[in-house]
Amino acid sequence: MEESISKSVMAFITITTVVVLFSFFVWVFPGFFFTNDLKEITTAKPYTALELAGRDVYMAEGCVACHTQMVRNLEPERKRYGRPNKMEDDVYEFNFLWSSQRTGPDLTNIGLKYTEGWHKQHLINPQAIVPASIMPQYPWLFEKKLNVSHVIASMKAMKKLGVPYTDTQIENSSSKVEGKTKGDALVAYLMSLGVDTREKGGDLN
Amino acid sequence: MESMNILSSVLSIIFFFIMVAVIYSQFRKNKTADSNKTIEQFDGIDEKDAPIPKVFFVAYLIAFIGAIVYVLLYPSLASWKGFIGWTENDDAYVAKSIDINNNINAIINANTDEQVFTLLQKDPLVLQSGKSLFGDNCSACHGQDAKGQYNYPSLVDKDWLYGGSPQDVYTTIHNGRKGKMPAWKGVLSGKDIDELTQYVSDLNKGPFKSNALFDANCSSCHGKDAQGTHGVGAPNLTDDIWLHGSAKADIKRNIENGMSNEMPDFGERLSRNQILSLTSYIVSLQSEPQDNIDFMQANTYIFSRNEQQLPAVLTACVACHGADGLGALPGAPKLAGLKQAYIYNQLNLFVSGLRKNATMQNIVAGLDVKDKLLAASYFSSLDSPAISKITPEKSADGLINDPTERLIFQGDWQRAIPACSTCHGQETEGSPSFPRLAGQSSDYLEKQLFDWRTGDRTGDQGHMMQNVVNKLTDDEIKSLSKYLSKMK
Repeated sequence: MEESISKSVMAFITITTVVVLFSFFVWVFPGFFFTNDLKEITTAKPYTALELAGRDVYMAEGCVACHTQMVRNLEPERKRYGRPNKMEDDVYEFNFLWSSQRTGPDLTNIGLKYTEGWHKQHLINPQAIVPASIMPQYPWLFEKKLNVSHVIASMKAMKKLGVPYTDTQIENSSSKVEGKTKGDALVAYLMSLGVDTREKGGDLN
Repeated sequence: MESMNILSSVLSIIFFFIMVAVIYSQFRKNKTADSNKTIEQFDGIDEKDAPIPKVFFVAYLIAFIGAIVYVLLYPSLASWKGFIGWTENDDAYVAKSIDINNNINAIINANTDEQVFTLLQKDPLVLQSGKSLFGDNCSACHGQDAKGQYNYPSLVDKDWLYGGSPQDVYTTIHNGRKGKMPAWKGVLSGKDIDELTQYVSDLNKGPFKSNALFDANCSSCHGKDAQGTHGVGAPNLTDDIWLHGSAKADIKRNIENGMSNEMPDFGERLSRNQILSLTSYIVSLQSEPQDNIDFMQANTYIFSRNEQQLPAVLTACVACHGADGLGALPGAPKLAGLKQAYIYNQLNLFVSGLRKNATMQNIVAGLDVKDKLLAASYFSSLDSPAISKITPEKSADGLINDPTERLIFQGDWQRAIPACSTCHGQETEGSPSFPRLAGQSSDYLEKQLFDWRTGDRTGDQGHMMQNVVNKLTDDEIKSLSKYLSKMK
């Protein structure tokens, strides 16, 4: 056998492929069939049109570069950021915004913490509220209007990926985002984080 | 999901045995290995057929045994739970942290709220934990030093929008606050708004002078003397503290457009003990914390009473009747002070339909005998305010002067109405067969008396109560309900 591995490229490729396929079938393949079970047990709800638009702003502005959305089940993290993530929280997330860099705080449960007014003031000028903050200012977000056709397109894309939006929801979405600024959408998105998956009092324990 | 688990498990086991087979075949071959035999030569370097060192096989053996032990102990294959009962939740890293729950629970037990907050002030661990909670949850708006900033109130001064007693602070954190001042543009003329702006900006500059416009429009929230009202969070306008700007332009903008300012609620996010330590920390920032504690109503037991573990089936009951049994919604009767047998009997009357009330009948329909007994014993165990003895004024012939008091304590034998106290007890304190009346909500009493008359409430022995109520006039029912509700 070792003769053939060291001598024959085909044998080497075949054996390597078999080993890799074992891992694939044990670790990756079953995951494709969990989605429906996760949809049964999840408390997460699909984003509204405005929140989805805000999520696009979140991605476009590169918020993921500094903010995670992944609370690990460690006491210091639970105390500071609230309920740890669970697999079923992300059934409607395409793509994940877990991120890996925490220059700013984790935002998984940020919707439970502040008010809309706070977010608006903070996005326009973070240093006005938290003097030590190093977050950049985003005043222009509240000057630029959302592009309605982009929102509809992004809802349709989500529907293709498995988010249960109905056609009427997609049609009505234009009236919901009409005239709203990018900042309004981002604030709506931030205010929705952690709200659906919240648990009863004492989360931080 | 299950079939996929089985697939993974079967593949894992097959892969394990393949690994074992490969290593074992190598181990067998090792015996025939000859370290002097040259297999191949690369650039003058010989590759000998040397045996694989023993330590590799020992390491593999340890790894295989380890894998089997792991599979036996931990949840690994399909739905196998493992012998040691480990779950994902046990995976939490437990740092050396302060656990204040025992401290606080010990303090809360059987102390009045006043004592609770006084004792919490003296516990450095509680204050320290409050401080770190403040840093995580409050400082983003109120600042690290709690001194507040534009639009966000300072917590270290004596100027409180919603009251500064620990109970008020606790309520603010738990429920949040939504302050709203209406917009006056369009309601008042531009001239009036200018006059009010001038008046308000001058309020803190000299002795107080009243203003007709202010009295007519602003005083219902800010008070006749412009000192503000804690109930609605209307600020004091006579001091030098301006949350939303002191310039005339700021004041004018707020009058014209109104103002809504919100403090989010933390009741869902923080546990009771965390809010208590946070409250204690905030109060400790005051120059005289004891003053704030003294603002509280004396002798309340809100926290120690809530300490009682509430059975899940009672959550529907306490939504209206209150966890303390003193009634949380208007119209819901106080249950504290009623006897167990009486409550149990009433629950059954709702089931049989002899007592009619859509809400109660709906809720009781879902209870079994055990639940009903539990509800009855829980509410009968709660303390109710004591009743002080009443000595009504009597005339020379022994009749009580006040007609309402006469009905309660003596009855009216001309009209064949027995005294309430005949059955409900000397102080209307109630018995296992008859409810306590003293201190009951007047709305509730009045509705019950009318229900007896219309037949919405029945089930009394020999129509005893119905016979009495039929002889009472509407006015008597109203004044009886009022009087009884005030008896303490």
